[in-house]
Order: sequence, then structure tokens, then C-alpha cells
Amino acid sequence: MATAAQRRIKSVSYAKYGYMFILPFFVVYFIFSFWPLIQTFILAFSENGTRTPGIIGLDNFKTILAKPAESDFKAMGIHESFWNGMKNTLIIWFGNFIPQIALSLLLAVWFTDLRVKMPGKGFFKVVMYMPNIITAASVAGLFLSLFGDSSYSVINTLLRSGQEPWKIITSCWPSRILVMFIQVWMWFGNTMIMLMSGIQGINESLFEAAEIDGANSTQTFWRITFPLLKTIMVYTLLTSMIGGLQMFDIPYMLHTGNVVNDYIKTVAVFIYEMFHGNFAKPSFGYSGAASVILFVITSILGALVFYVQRDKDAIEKKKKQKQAAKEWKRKQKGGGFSI
Amino acid sequence: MSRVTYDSDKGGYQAHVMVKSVAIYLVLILLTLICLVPIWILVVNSTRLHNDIISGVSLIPRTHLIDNIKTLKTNSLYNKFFAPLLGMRNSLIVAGCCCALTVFFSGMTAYGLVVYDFKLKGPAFVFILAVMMVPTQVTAVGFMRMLIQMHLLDSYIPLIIPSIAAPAIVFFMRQYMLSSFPLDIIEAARIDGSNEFRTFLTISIPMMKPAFAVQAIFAFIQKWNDYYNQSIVLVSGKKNQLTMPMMVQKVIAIDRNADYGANYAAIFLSIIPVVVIYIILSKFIIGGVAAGGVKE
Amino acid sequence: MNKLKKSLALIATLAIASTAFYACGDSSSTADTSSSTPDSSSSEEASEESSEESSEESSEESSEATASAENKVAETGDKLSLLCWTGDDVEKMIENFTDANPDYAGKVEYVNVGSSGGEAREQYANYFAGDEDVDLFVLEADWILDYINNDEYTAPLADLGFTEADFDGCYDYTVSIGTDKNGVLKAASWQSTPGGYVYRTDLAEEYLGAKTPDEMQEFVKDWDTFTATAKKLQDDGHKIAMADTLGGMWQVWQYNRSNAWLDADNKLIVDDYCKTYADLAKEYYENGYVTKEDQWSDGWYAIGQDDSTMGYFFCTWCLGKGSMLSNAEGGEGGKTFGKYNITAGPSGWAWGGSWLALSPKCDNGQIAHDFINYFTVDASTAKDYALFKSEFVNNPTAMKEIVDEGSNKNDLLGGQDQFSVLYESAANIDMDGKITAFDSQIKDAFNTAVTKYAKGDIASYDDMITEFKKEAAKIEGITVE
Repeated sequence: MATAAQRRIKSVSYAKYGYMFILPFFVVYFIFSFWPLIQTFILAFSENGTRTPGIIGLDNFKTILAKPAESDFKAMGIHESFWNGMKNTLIIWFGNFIPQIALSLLLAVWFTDLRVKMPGKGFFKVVMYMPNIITAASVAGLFLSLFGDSSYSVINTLLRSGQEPWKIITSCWPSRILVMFIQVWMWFGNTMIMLMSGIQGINESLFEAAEIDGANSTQTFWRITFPLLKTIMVYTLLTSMIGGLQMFDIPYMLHTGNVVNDYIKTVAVFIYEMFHGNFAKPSFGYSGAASVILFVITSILGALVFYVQRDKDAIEKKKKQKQAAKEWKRKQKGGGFSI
Repeated sequence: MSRVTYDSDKGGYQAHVMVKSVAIYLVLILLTLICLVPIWILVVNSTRLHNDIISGVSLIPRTHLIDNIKTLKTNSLYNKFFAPLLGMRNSLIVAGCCCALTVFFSGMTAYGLVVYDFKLKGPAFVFILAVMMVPTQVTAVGFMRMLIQMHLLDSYIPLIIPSIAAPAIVFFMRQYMLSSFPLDIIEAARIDGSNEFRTFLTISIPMMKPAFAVQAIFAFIQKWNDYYNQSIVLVSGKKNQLTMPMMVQKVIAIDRNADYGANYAAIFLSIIPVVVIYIILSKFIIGGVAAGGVKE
Repeated sequence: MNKLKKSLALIATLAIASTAFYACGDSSSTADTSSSTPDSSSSEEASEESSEESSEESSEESSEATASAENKVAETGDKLSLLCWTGDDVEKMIENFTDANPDYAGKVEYVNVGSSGGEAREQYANYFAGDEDVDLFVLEADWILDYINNDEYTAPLADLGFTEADFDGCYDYTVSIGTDKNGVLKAASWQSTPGGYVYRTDLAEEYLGAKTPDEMQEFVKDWDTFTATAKKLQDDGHKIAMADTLGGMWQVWQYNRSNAWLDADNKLIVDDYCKTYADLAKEYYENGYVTKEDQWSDGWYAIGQDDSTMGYFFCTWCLGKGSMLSNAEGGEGGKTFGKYNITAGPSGWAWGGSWLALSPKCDNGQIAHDFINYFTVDASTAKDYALFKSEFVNNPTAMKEIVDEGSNKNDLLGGQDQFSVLYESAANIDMDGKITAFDSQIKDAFNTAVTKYAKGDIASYDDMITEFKKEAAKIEGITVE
């Protein structure tokens, strides 16, 4: 039954096109990112206190990871500030990711719901993404003037006039919650649009069918939207996790004066400070080692998400392909050929 | 079928929808306020003078925007590095090129990974996934050393070219294609005798428009605001090379005698282009999903 | 959907487990650390007597005497590039310099490197390494030593034909700071930065009955009196702080330390002085003797206009047009414009300072020589500049003349001449041997710890010192015991 054209297509190997399509990515990546990455790994095993460090082995990892002696202020300082950074990073990430994904999902479903005619939908969508387009430095400056420690910040003039000012920026939980809020504020629109594009990728006929069958919104959401949104959700989770573990801008800039607030200092800030904090004698080694640790943690979490969420269809498909291949071979042997 | 039941239920259903819509609108209006008030304050402050700003907050715009922009132009504290038109042009070049390259090549890479079967497909994908997780902060070290060796400092090349390789966007595109790209259409194109690249350019890209649009917006804005990379590449800080965020950063970082009115005006000027471009492109996202084609 | 939940739960468990093991509590782990500091309550006198008698008022017109020395620097460049992170000073200097030397008009260029000292340091490295034109660049007291002691960054001023005798007319401490560990002069400062106490004249008269700066000085003449005055104001029921911020107070105290932060082996010195200051800071903070604002914040300026603060600790470069004092007054036409006066305050002090250094890459020897000469060596041109910019120049002779003539009137200070007040403290400035290459980081670490202690975030002084030591120990190049 096969036409000539189809036969020609089947006999052509398309593998080379695959390589051609992905080649530019890999060439550029290797030049501009992979080489620098290797440098980072080398630095992780290098000494501190010089701009031209030599290799010293695993000492940096030991200092960061192992509990040092009480009298060794240096090791204590580095060890503690790394783990303080780790703790803050995770707390702030959880505190912003969970409300953010919940809010974004809710909004994405509302905005894509075929049944609800919503005038002004476009306006809301545009507005909600707005916070994301302002440079982090401006956002930090803005929130400092809104929620700053000063008696003259907006919040203190409105709510604490004549009283002891609230010191949100330099207190432990208030500052963390503020950072979580800023992160949600900046990113929920982004996540929402991402999820919307996922939902819109779902075949409309499925929603129509559900409507005809009398499914309500909740049912539609849990039975259709959510399961089909899986791949985009994985993406969102993964990027948010990676972004979260590298969170830098807002925690780094949300302070007055020269010193970053300890309660919101993230690992990325630790890495940056070790790298840039001491110009003449930088701690490249600790900076590199902390990056490598972060890399390992992200990889493990990423692999975990992927393992749990891996694309069943793809696996099915692979199986089928294998089977098909076997069959094809068998048929080849048998000499029969048909589609 | 049971049309009667449906009809008798209709009133209740409509009431339910009404209540729900009102609730939804309340939430949306609240969120809109939360999103806009801080930005509004920024805009308002750009129209107030330094002394008004330090003496308190206000939600009512004043008339001094032009004065503040004049301060940016005439005060040597600012005009040494702040030139809004120049900055916008530079940022447009950088962000525009980056955005185009990122979206095009990420789409292409994802397409290669989804459409074709080849031996290294699995490893290639795993690799992309792995490098997505590399913290950017510290690869900067090696990056800077390389730039010095290759004499690429103070050039736009190392800002623009690397955006060809954007692992996270490739990943997004791949996920998107897996969930909603009809592979049969390619098969059909082949039968029609279209070559692979033409199929990609003329058939696949139009079909992936929603994903492209979303990523284009994200990429543009991200590159526009990407102070970190720009600051390590454009080290000499030459005024005619500076991008908008670099200029704004310098304005914000002025550690003595800053004029807050001018500061806010600078931030305000820096976000106008992004907002405009965003609003233009967002129409594309909001309306443009119909280009679905065949689905599963 | 189940899968997602599961994965989330798993990550959550993992994450919580990892945090639980390590970093619980912000200070619990520091609480039981035994401190090596003796719990001494004996306090050291704050104001340190300067043993140096600056009797060397014998600065003749020495600028011409240098003609014999040879300028070895190349003459191949067409423009003198002067690198700095702010045009505040540099642009005014260039303007004044080219006005006086029309031949050089357009030949001196200010090159902007970043907008803060920290940013400038990173960019300097790129300028030094690359093939950009660098002739002179500006260094700040907090980190000057790194550059002075590195021959790749700075060249001896002798290369330009200067001799050490040329700088006899400058304040001694500026010369010793500009000299490297081998005794080679590498940088020259154009300014001296004595500070005082800048107070509200109207409030001082109303609350304290002080009508003149001299009368006010009686209320703030030393720290005990200063504290007593602060207490009196509170007791009288005025909601007013005597000092602007902990950051401001700290600048005064930090200058008056008798030890440098590091000893000869770069070991951190924590002395009784730290405790004296920390306890004073806590007392001030808790009793409202100092405001709860942060230095450099909007609030720092706002307190200058709303009667909540008697005064600021400001130094010379805070008193010019468009500077900190101007901001605190709300600018020209502001609520408290001109309502301030300056007095010496509880102890003499100085804040920072900037130096001109010569790059080994310099290719404009003659202009570089003339430029440095104009602002540091030549008393008459330095005096011109002092009046031009309202700058306290690094030349006692020039400053003395201005003070005697009474030609300087500062509108921000209601017409008062700040130079006459600060002239004496300038003569007593002694930073020699008291600054280190790591000062900016160590000072930040200490001030942060003290602020937390004053706020009550850190319970005891010992804990505070432990925290400070851990923070300082992270700086490569110093040792902490």
C-alpha cells in the first residue's frame, strides 16, 4: 500500500538532521558556559586569599561541611555562614514557591476557563506580569522605602507613627517573609503565564467534551487540566527550584548600609561575597566549593523531580518503538514489507 | 436528554456563576492593587522633587518629571553615565538580539530533540537538563578570564552570542512540544517534499507561536534586566556602551548626595520601553493561541 | 497529581532534614562559645591625646624647589585620564585646575569607574590589566594600603620629580598613609577630613539655652557631658536624640581607637575599647540618646528636619553644597536650611579621605606632576581650590590663611565658617599606623555586631564579640584568636 514517497521517507535516515538542529546549542554552550564551569570546579579545589590560586584538594569542602572546632573562628565563620545561607535559601524558597504556584494555578485556570466570560481579562493578565519587568535593584529600593526600618518608611509612617518603628528589614522572620512576598510578587505573573500557555496547549475539545458531560470546574480541573499540565508543572517546579536555590538579587540588595542582612543571606549571596567581598585576597576556593555543593544539591533534587514525574507516555512510546523495531527486523528477515 | 432538570437548575447555576464571578473579581482587583501600588509609587516619585520624596510618601503625582529628567541631564553626578536614549538603544540591541537568538535556537534545539531519533538524543537531553542547574554566579569567574584571553571585554558579542545556548528555554520548548506538537504534520510535510529546515521554519515555528511568544517576552525582559552579565562584560563602563540597567544601577549606587527625584526618574525611564514592548507582545500571547493546528 | 505531591513531600523532607541537622537557631551555637576576651569593665578614655606637636609650621613656598628633580614619566599620551568613582571632587578639581592653567584645558579627563568605592576597586583591576589609558586614580583611606604596597598598581611619586620635602606643607598623616612599607611615597591627598558635631541652633537655644557654638560646646565637650546632656533632654520630656545614628557615632569612636584593628602579624585586636563603645551604643540606643535610623538611609536625612535629633556627626566633606548636611536641611528653602552650626564635639575625629595615586602606566608625566602639585604642594593654588569648592585642603598654611581672613561663609551653617572650627582638630589628626588594608570589612563587621547588640538581637557582649570574630575571621589575610 505504500506510496513511493512514503517509501522514500522511511528509507532516509533523519538522524543527521537531529544533530544538525542541536549543534549550534552545543557549540555555543561549550565555548561560553562549559569552559567557565570547569574553571569553577577547579576553583573549588583551590586555595583562598589570592587572585591566582593553586590547587589544595578537598580542604574547602571540609571547612564548609564538617563541624569545626569551637576555637577556630575562621572555620566556624565560614561553616556557619554557609549553612545559615542554606537554611535561609530553603526557608525562603518554600515560603515563596508554595503560595506562588497555588496562586498562579488558580489564576491560570480562571483565565483559561471557557465558561466564564471575563471582561478585562487581558488587562488583569498584563498587570499581573508587570512586577516582573522591573529590575531587581529598583524593586529592592522600592520595597526598602515601603517597608524600611526607618520611622519614615511608608509602613512606619502609616501604622507606627509616634511609636517605636517596626524593624522589618533587620528582624529575622519579618525580613524573610518580606523577601518571600517580594519573590511571589515578582514571579507569580510569570508562573501564571507559563501555566496558561500549558493549559492553552491542551486540546480544547477535551474541555468541551467535559462541559457537555456536565463536569463542573473543579472536576474539569482535577481530571483534565491538572494531569495534562504535568509537563509544564514539572518545568515550573524545576525552574523555580533552580532559581530558588540561586536566589540572589533581592536578598542581596534589601538592606541599607554595606552589610547584607544575615537572616535573608542566601547561599548565592555567600558565594558572591566570598568571591567579591575581599578584593585583594578573595576566597575563590570557598566560593567555588559552595557552588559545587549547590550544583550537587540542585542536581539531586532535579533528578528526583524528574524520576518521579518522568514522562510515562515517552516510556510507553519507547517500548512501542522497540517492539516495532523488533517486528520490523523480523519482517525484514521474512522479507515481507507493509505499513 | 433530561432537558427539564437542566432548565430548572439553570437559575441556581447562574446565581452560582454570579457569586463566583464577583469573588473572582474581588480577588483580581486586590491582586491588581498589590501589583500596581508599588509601581505607582515609583511613577509618582519620579514626578516629585528630592525634598518632597524624603519627607514622605504620596500617591498623587506632581509635575516635576521634566525637572528630574533635566537633573539627570545636567547634574554631573548623573550625566557622566546616564543618557536615557543611548541606554535604551544599547539595551534594545542587546536584549533584541539575545531574544531573537534565544528563541530561535532554543526552538531549533528542542525541535531536534523531539522530532528526530538519534543515538545521542538521550545523552544530549540529560546534558541540557544537568547544565540547567549550574549556578550562574560562579561560572562568571571562568567567563571573565576567557573574555580577557579572547579580547572580548567591552564588546556586545559575549553578551549576545551565548544566548544561543539557553538550557532552560530549550527544556521549556521541549516540554511544550511533547505536550502539544503534532508530529504527524511533519510526516505530512515530508510527503509533500518539504526539506527539514523549511518544515521547521514554515510549519513548525508558526505552530509553536504561543511557546515562542511566551519565551520571547521572558527572554527579552530577562536580557533587558540582566545587569549581572552586562556588568562583567562591559567592564570599562564607557557611556556609549552602557545599557539601561547598568545606568540605573549606577544611579542607584550613588552613595552620596543622590537626588532621589532624579533616581526615580531614571528608574521610570528604564522601565518604559519594557512596559511598552511587553504590552505589545502580550496581546500576541493573549489572543494568539488559536494557532493550534492538529492536536493529538 | 499524586506524583507531584509525593515529589514535593520528598523534597520537603529532604530539605527540612538537611536544615535541621545544621543551622538551627541564629545564635544558639554561638551562645556557649567561650570568649577569649577578658570581661574587663575598665574603660579607656575615648579621646586620645595626640603626642605629636605639629610645630612644623615652617612650610615655605617649597613648590619651586622641586624643579631640579627629574620627571621620568613618559610624555606620549595626549590626555591625562583621572579615574574615580564619583565626580564630586574630581570634576571640581579639573575645573579649577584647567581654569588656572588654560594650556591644559580639555587635556584632563575624568573617567568614571563605577559609582561606589567597592565597584571602583573591581574596575581598577580591569583598567590596570587592559590597555586603557590610566594616569592618575583616586584611593580611599579604607583600602588605600592594598594599592600603595603593590608596585603593579602604583608608581612612586618621585618618578614625577617630586621629593619628600615637597610634601612638608601637607598634613603629616596624609603623607605617612601615602607612603608604602618601604618608605616610598606613592600617593598624595588633596584634602584633610576632620569632623565635628553639627547641631540645630534653634533647638539648642530652646532646650539648652546655648546661643553660640562655644556655649554649645560646653554641653558636648566630652562623652560624659554629651551623655549627660542627652539624658537631660530626655528627662525634660523632649523626644529628641543627641546623636544622629549609631553609624555616625561609630565613625567618631572608630577614629579614636588607640590600636589599629590588626597587629603586625595581621592578628585581630579586640581591646577594652570595643566594650566601652558597645556598652555606650547600647545605652544610647535603649534610652533614645541616638535615633534608630540607619546611616545613609532616607530616614537619616529626614531626622534633620523634624526636631527629633539635635545634631549629626559630620566631617568636612559632609558640609558642602548638595552634600549630606544639605540633604538633612531639606536643601535650599528646606525646613531647617541654615539652622545648623558646627562645634568640635566630644572628641576630635576624622572620616576617611582620598588620595591621588600615580599609575605605572601613566604617559602624561608633565600634566600629572602639575596636577598633583596644584592640589597638594602649592599652598596658594590649594587655597584657591579650598575657596572654590569649600574643601578642607591638605595644606595647613592655606587653611590658616582662610581662617584668618574669615573669607569662608557657609550658608548651610548660617554663614558660620566651618574651617575655623575644624582647623584645630585637623592639626591633631593621627591615622598613622592605625589603618589597615582590611578596615572597611572589619569596621562593617564590628558595627553590624554592635547594632545587633544595641537592638537586643544579641544578648551579651561576649556573644557579640564571638559573632564579630567569626565574621572578621572570614576575611582572608587576617587571623583571629
